Amino acid sequence: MSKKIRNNVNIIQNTSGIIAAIGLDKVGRGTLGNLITPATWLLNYKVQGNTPSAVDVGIYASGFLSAFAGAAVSTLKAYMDDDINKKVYAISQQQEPKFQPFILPVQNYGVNPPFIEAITIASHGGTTWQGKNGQWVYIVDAKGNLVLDFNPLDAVKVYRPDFPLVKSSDGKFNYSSY
Amino acid sequence: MMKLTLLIFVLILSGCSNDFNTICTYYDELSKHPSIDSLSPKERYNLISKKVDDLDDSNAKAIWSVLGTAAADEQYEIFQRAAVETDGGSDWECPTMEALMSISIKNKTADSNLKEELDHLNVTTMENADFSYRKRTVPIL
Repeated sequence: MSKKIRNNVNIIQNTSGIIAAIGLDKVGRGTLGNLITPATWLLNYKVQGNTPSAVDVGIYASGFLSAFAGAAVSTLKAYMDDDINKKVYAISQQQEPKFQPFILPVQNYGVNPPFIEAITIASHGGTTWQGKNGQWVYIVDAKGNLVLDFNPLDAVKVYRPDFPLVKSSDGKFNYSSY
Repeated sequence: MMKLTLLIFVLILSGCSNDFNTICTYYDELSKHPSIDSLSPKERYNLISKKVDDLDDSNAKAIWSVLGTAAADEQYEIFQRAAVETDGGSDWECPTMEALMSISIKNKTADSNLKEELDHLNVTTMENADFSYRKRTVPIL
Protein backbone atom coordinates (compact mmCIF):
# COMPACT_ATOMS: atom_id res chain seq x y z
CA MET A 1 0.00 0.00 0.00
CA SER A 2 2.82 2.37 0.79
CA LYS A 3 4.16 1.77 -2.72
CA LYS A 4 0.77 2.64 -4.15
CA ILE A 5 0.75 5.85 -2.20
CA ARG A 6 4.25 6.66 -3.39
CA ASN A 7 3.25 5.91 -6.96
CA ASN A 8 0.29 8.22 -6.74
CA VAL A 9 1.65 11.12 -4.84
CA ASN A 10 1.14 13.33 -7.86
CA ILE A 11 -2.51 12.37 -8.16
CA ILE A 12 -3.09 12.92 -4.49
CA GLN A 13 -1.29 16.23 -4.56
CA ASN A 14 -3.03 17.32 -7.74
CA THR A 15 -6.42 16.43 -6.34
CA SER A 16 -5.70 18.28 -3.15
CA GLY A 17 -4.45 21.19 -5.20
CA ILE A 18 -7.65 21.36 -7.22
CA ILE A 19 -9.75 21.26 -4.09
CA ALA A 20 -7.67 23.94 -2.41
CA ALA A 21 -7.71 26.09 -5.55
CA ILE A 22 -11.48 26.24 -5.64
CA GLY A 23 -11.80 26.79 -1.93
CA LEU A 24 -13.13 23.45 -0.80
CA ASP A 25 -10.41 22.69 1.67
CA LYS A 26 -12.84 23.12 4.53
CA VAL A 27 -15.29 20.52 3.34
CA GLY A 28 -15.38 16.81 3.71
CA ARG A 29 -12.63 16.17 6.16
CA GLY A 30 -15.05 14.61 8.57
CA THR A 31 -13.84 11.69 10.62
CA LEU A 32 -16.74 9.52 9.52
CA GLY A 33 -15.80 9.74 5.86
CA ASN A 34 -12.22 8.88 6.58
CA LEU A 35 -13.30 5.87 8.59
CA ILE A 36 -15.88 4.54 6.18
CA THR A 37 -13.44 4.32 3.31
CA PRO A 38 -10.86 2.15 5.08
CA ALA A 39 -13.74 0.07 6.42
CA THR A 40 -14.71 -0.70 2.83
CA TRP A 41 -11.14 -1.66 2.08
CA LEU A 42 -11.17 -3.97 5.07
CA LEU A 43 -14.36 -5.60 3.82
CA ASN A 44 -12.83 -6.09 0.38
CA TYR A 45 -9.72 -7.55 1.92
CA LYS A 46 -11.68 -9.94 4.09
CA VAL A 47 -13.96 -11.11 1.30
CA GLN A 48 -11.69 -11.09 -1.69
CA GLY A 49 -8.15 -10.76 -0.42
CA ASN A 50 -7.94 -7.40 -2.13
CA THR A 51 -5.84 -4.50 -1.00
CA PRO A 52 -6.88 -0.96 -1.78
CA SER A 53 -6.18 0.22 -5.29
CA ALA A 54 -4.48 3.43 -6.29
CA VAL A 55 -7.87 5.04 -6.80
CA ASP A 56 -8.96 4.02 -3.31
CA VAL A 57 -5.81 5.46 -1.86
CA GLY A 58 -6.19 8.63 -3.87
CA ILE A 59 -9.75 9.16 -2.70
CA TYR A 60 -8.85 8.49 0.89
CA ALA A 61 -5.57 10.36 1.05
CA SER A 62 -6.97 13.46 -0.59
CA GLY A 63 -9.59 13.42 2.14
CA PHE A 64 -11.88 15.84 0.40
CA LEU A 65 -15.03 13.80 0.17
CA SER A 66 -17.65 14.17 2.82
CA ALA A 67 -18.84 11.22 4.84
CA PHE A 68 -21.82 10.55 2.62
CA ALA A 69 -20.00 11.18 -0.66
CA GLY A 70 -17.09 9.10 0.56
CA ALA A 71 -19.35 6.24 1.49
CA ALA A 72 -21.19 6.44 -1.83
CA VAL A 73 -18.00 6.49 -3.87
CA SER A 74 -16.49 3.69 -1.82
CA THR A 75 -19.58 1.57 -2.25
CA LEU A 76 -19.62 2.26 -5.97
CA LYS A 77 -15.91 1.46 -6.17
CA ALA A 78 -16.45 -1.82 -4.35
CA TYR A 79 -19.23 -2.68 -6.79
CA MET A 80 -17.00 -1.85 -9.74
CA ASP A 81 -14.12 -3.87 -8.32
CA ASP A 82 -16.44 -6.83 -7.97
CA ASP A 83 -17.70 -6.37 -11.52
CA ILE A 84 -14.14 -6.20 -12.87
CA ASN A 85 -13.09 -9.28 -10.93
CA LYS A 86 -16.04 -11.22 -12.36
CA LYS A 87 -15.12 -10.19 -15.88
CA VAL A 88 -11.47 -11.08 -15.36
CA TYR A 89 -12.53 -14.45 -14.02
CA ALA A 90 -14.68 -15.05 -17.10
CA ILE A 91 -11.78 -14.16 -19.41
CA SER A 92 -9.32 -16.30 -17.48
CA GLN A 93 -11.64 -19.29 -17.81
CA GLN A 94 -11.09 -19.15 -21.57
CA GLN A 95 -7.36 -19.80 -21.10
CA GLU A 96 -5.49 -22.94 -20.13
CA PRO A 97 -5.89 -23.65 -16.39
CA LYS A 98 -2.21 -23.14 -15.60
CA PHE A 99 -2.38 -19.56 -16.88
CA GLN A 100 -5.59 -18.56 -15.15
CA PRO A 101 -4.12 -17.35 -11.82
CA PHE A 102 -1.73 -15.07 -13.66
CA ILE A 103 -4.28 -13.06 -15.62
CA LEU A 104 -4.90 -9.62 -14.16
CA PRO A 105 -7.05 -6.59 -14.96
CA VAL A 106 -5.16 -3.70 -16.53
CA GLN A 107 -6.50 -1.56 -13.72
CA ASN A 108 -3.82 -3.26 -11.61
CA TYR A 109 -1.08 -1.78 -13.75
CA GLY A 110 -1.78 1.91 -13.29
CA VAL A 111 -4.34 4.63 -12.80
CA ASN A 112 -4.98 5.62 -16.42
CA PRO A 113 -8.17 4.49 -18.19
CA PRO A 114 -8.11 0.77 -19.13
CA PHE A 115 -7.36 1.15 -22.83
CA ILE A 116 -4.45 3.49 -22.13
CA GLU A 117 -3.09 1.07 -19.55
CA ALA A 118 -3.43 -1.78 -22.05
CA ILE A 119 -1.40 0.10 -24.64
CA THR A 120 1.13 1.04 -21.97
CA ILE A 121 1.55 -2.61 -21.02
CA ALA A 122 2.18 -3.61 -24.65
CA SER A 123 4.79 -0.87 -25.01
CA HIS A 124 6.46 -2.11 -21.84
CA GLY A 125 6.74 -5.62 -23.26
CA GLY A 126 3.56 -7.35 -22.13
CA THR A 127 0.69 -9.11 -23.80
CA THR A 128 -2.66 -7.47 -23.19
CA TRP A 129 -6.04 -8.33 -24.58
CA GLN A 130 -9.69 -7.44 -24.43
CA GLY A 131 -12.20 -10.12 -23.63
CA LYS A 132 -15.65 -10.36 -25.15
CA ASN A 133 -17.06 -8.75 -22.02
CA GLY A 134 -15.02 -5.60 -22.73
CA GLN A 135 -12.50 -5.99 -19.94
CA TRP A 136 -8.78 -5.50 -20.74
CA VAL A 137 -6.40 -7.92 -19.04
CA TYR A 138 -2.73 -8.85 -19.11
CA ILE A 139 -0.62 -11.75 -17.96
CA VAL A 140 2.41 -12.00 -15.72
CA ASP A 141 4.41 -15.02 -14.63
CA ALA A 142 4.95 -16.13 -11.04
CA LYS A 143 7.71 -13.59 -10.65
CA GLY A 144 5.50 -10.76 -11.81
CA ASN A 145 7.21 -10.41 -15.19
CA LEU A 146 5.18 -9.26 -18.18
CA VAL A 147 4.94 -12.02 -20.79
CA LEU A 148 5.87 -10.94 -24.31
CA ASP A 149 4.40 -13.64 -26.47
CA PHE A 150 1.32 -15.08 -24.81
CA ASN A 151 -1.42 -16.19 -27.21
CA PRO A 152 -4.75 -15.55 -25.51
CA LEU A 153 -7.77 -17.51 -26.59
CA ASP A 154 -11.12 -15.93 -27.39
CA ALA A 155 -9.83 -12.35 -27.40
CA VAL A 156 -11.49 -9.45 -29.17
CA LYS A 157 -8.20 -7.63 -29.64
CA VAL A 158 -4.62 -8.35 -28.59
CA TYR A 159 -1.69 -5.94 -28.29
CA ARG A 160 1.82 -7.25 -27.78
CA PRO A 161 5.41 -6.56 -28.83
CA ASP A 162 6.49 -7.27 -32.39
CA PHE A 163 9.01 -9.97 -33.23
CA PRO A 164 11.88 -9.71 -33.71
CA LEU A 165 11.92 -7.54 -30.63
CA VAL A 166 12.73 -3.92 -31.25
CA LYS A 167 13.19 -1.33 -28.55
CA SER A 168 13.12 2.40 -29.09
CA SER A 169 15.66 4.77 -27.63
CA ASP A 170 13.33 5.56 -24.74
CA GLY A 171 13.08 1.91 -23.74
CA LYS A 172 9.67 1.05 -25.18
CA PHE A 173 8.95 -1.92 -27.41
CA ASN A 174 7.49 -1.85 -30.88
CA TYR A 175 4.01 -3.35 -30.66
CA SER A 176 1.02 -4.14 -32.84
CA SER A 177 -2.48 -5.44 -32.52
CA TYR A 178 -3.36 -9.01 -33.43
CA MET B 1 -21.68 18.89 -1.79
CA MET B 2 -23.04 16.72 -4.59
CA LYS B 3 -22.92 19.67 -6.96
CA LEU B 4 -19.35 20.41 -6.00
CA THR B 5 -18.33 16.79 -6.47
CA LEU B 6 -19.97 16.74 -9.89
CA LEU B 7 -18.23 19.99 -10.77
CA ILE B 8 -14.87 18.46 -9.97
CA PHE B 9 -15.50 15.42 -12.15
CA VAL B 10 -16.79 17.60 -14.99
CA LEU B 11 -13.68 19.77 -14.77
CA ILE B 12 -11.44 16.71 -14.81
CA LEU B 13 -13.29 15.14 -17.75
CA SER B 14 -13.35 18.32 -19.77
CA GLY B 15 -9.64 18.76 -19.12
CA CYS B 16 -8.91 15.29 -20.50
CA SER B 17 -10.97 15.95 -23.60
CA ASN B 18 -9.25 19.27 -24.24
CA ASP B 19 -5.82 17.69 -24.25
CA PHE B 20 -6.79 15.35 -27.07
CA ASN B 21 -8.13 18.34 -28.97
CA THR B 22 -5.02 20.33 -28.15
CA ILE B 23 -2.77 17.70 -29.68
CA CYS B 24 -5.07 17.69 -32.71
CA THR B 25 -4.49 21.42 -33.11
CA TYR B 26 -0.74 20.76 -33.06
CA TYR B 27 -1.23 18.66 -36.17
CA ASP B 28 -3.33 21.41 -37.74
CA GLU B 29 -0.45 23.78 -37.11
CA LEU B 30 2.04 21.26 -38.46
CA SER B 31 0.07 20.92 -41.68
CA LYS B 32 0.57 24.66 -42.24
CA HIS B 33 4.29 24.53 -41.60
CA PRO B 34 6.04 26.21 -44.55
CA SER B 35 8.49 23.31 -44.85
CA ILE B 36 6.06 20.52 -44.18
CA ASP B 37 7.02 18.62 -47.33
CA SER B 38 10.71 18.74 -46.56
CA LEU B 39 10.44 17.72 -42.92
CA SER B 40 11.46 14.15 -42.22
CA PRO B 41 9.08 11.91 -40.30
CA LYS B 42 11.32 12.18 -37.26
CA GLU B 43 11.37 15.97 -37.47
CA ARG B 44 7.59 16.06 -37.67
CA TYR B 45 7.27 13.76 -34.71
CA ASN B 46 9.74 15.78 -32.68
CA LEU B 47 7.90 19.03 -33.42
CA ILE B 48 4.70 17.57 -32.01
CA SER B 49 6.43 15.86 -29.09
CA LYS B 50 8.09 19.06 -27.92
CA LYS B 51 4.67 20.67 -27.58
CA VAL B 52 3.12 17.62 -25.93
CA ASP B 53 5.94 17.52 -23.41
CA ASP B 54 4.90 20.98 -22.25
CA LEU B 55 1.35 19.86 -21.46
CA ASP B 56 0.34 18.94 -17.95
CA ASP B 57 -0.09 15.25 -17.21
CA SER B 58 -3.29 13.95 -18.79
CA ASN B 59 -4.74 10.91 -20.49
CA ALA B 60 -3.84 12.39 -23.87
CA LYS B 61 -0.24 12.87 -22.81
CA ALA B 62 -0.16 9.36 -21.34
CA ILE B 63 -1.27 7.70 -24.57
CA TRP B 64 1.03 9.92 -26.62
CA SER B 65 4.00 8.78 -24.56
CA VAL B 66 3.50 5.17 -25.68
CA LEU B 67 2.32 5.86 -29.21
CA GLY B 68 5.72 6.22 -30.83
CA THR B 69 6.40 2.48 -30.87
CA ALA B 70 2.95 1.44 -32.09
CA ALA B 71 2.68 0.11 -35.62
CA ALA B 72 2.57 3.13 -37.92
CA ASP B 73 -0.80 2.24 -39.40
CA GLU B 74 -2.35 1.84 -35.95
CA GLN B 75 -1.21 5.02 -34.26
CA TYR B 76 -4.18 7.18 -35.16
CA GLU B 77 -6.64 4.42 -34.33
CA ILE B 78 -5.06 3.98 -30.89
CA PHE B 79 -5.06 7.71 -30.16
CA GLN B 80 -8.62 8.08 -31.37
CA ARG B 81 -9.82 5.16 -29.30
CA ALA B 82 -8.14 6.57 -26.21
CA ALA B 83 -9.87 9.89 -26.87
CA VAL B 84 -13.26 8.27 -27.34
CA GLU B 85 -12.99 6.05 -24.26
CA THR B 86 -11.70 8.86 -22.10
CA ASP B 87 -14.30 11.28 -23.34
CA GLY B 88 -17.20 9.09 -22.34
CA GLY B 89 -17.87 7.34 -25.61
CA SER B 90 -18.52 10.35 -27.81
CA ASP B 91 -17.15 10.58 -31.33
CA TRP B 92 -13.71 12.06 -31.67
CA GLU B 93 -11.74 12.57 -34.82
CA CYS B 94 -8.87 14.64 -36.15
CA PRO B 95 -8.51 14.35 -39.93
CA THR B 96 -5.20 16.23 -40.03
CA MET B 97 -3.73 13.94 -37.43
CA GLU B 98 -5.00 10.91 -39.32
CA ALA B 99 -3.29 12.18 -42.46
CA LEU B 100 0.04 13.01 -40.84
CA MET B 101 0.40 10.72 -37.83
CA SER B 102 1.08 7.48 -39.68
CA ILE B 103 4.32 8.90 -41.01
CA SER B 104 5.26 10.83 -37.90
CA ILE B 105 6.96 7.94 -36.16
CA LYS B 106 10.16 7.67 -34.26
CA ASN B 107 13.20 6.05 -35.73
CA LYS B 108 13.50 2.72 -34.03
CA THR B 109 16.65 0.88 -33.25
CA ALA B 110 16.98 -2.85 -32.88
CA ASP B 111 19.04 -3.96 -29.95
CA SER B 112 20.97 -7.15 -30.51
CA ASN B 113 21.31 -7.71 -26.77
CA LEU B 114 17.64 -7.18 -26.06
CA LYS B 115 16.93 -10.69 -24.83
CA GLU B 116 19.61 -10.30 -22.19
CA GLU B 117 17.99 -7.08 -21.06
CA LEU B 118 14.55 -8.60 -20.54
CA ASP B 119 15.27 -9.67 -17.00
CA HIS B 120 16.10 -6.12 -16.07
CA LEU B 121 12.88 -4.91 -17.66
CA ASN B 122 10.67 -7.38 -15.76
CA VAL B 123 9.69 -8.96 -19.04
CA THR B 124 9.86 -12.61 -20.04
CA THR B 125 8.90 -14.98 -22.82
CA MET B 126 6.56 -17.96 -22.75
CA GLU B 127 9.62 -20.17 -23.02
CA ASN B 128 11.18 -18.73 -19.88
CA ALA B 129 8.07 -17.75 -17.90
CA ASP B 130 7.39 -19.46 -14.59
CA PHE B 131 3.73 -20.43 -14.38
CA SER B 132 4.08 -22.71 -11.38
CA TYR B 133 1.32 -22.27 -8.86
CA ARG B 134 2.04 -19.48 -6.46
CA LYS B 135 0.48 -17.69 -3.63
CA ARG B 136 -1.05 -14.61 -5.20
CA THR B 137 1.32 -11.73 -4.62
CA VAL B 138 -0.24 -9.27 -7.05
CA PRO B 139 -3.57 -8.16 -5.63
CA ILE B 140 -6.52 -7.81 -7.95
CA LEU B 141 -7.78 -4.30 -7.36
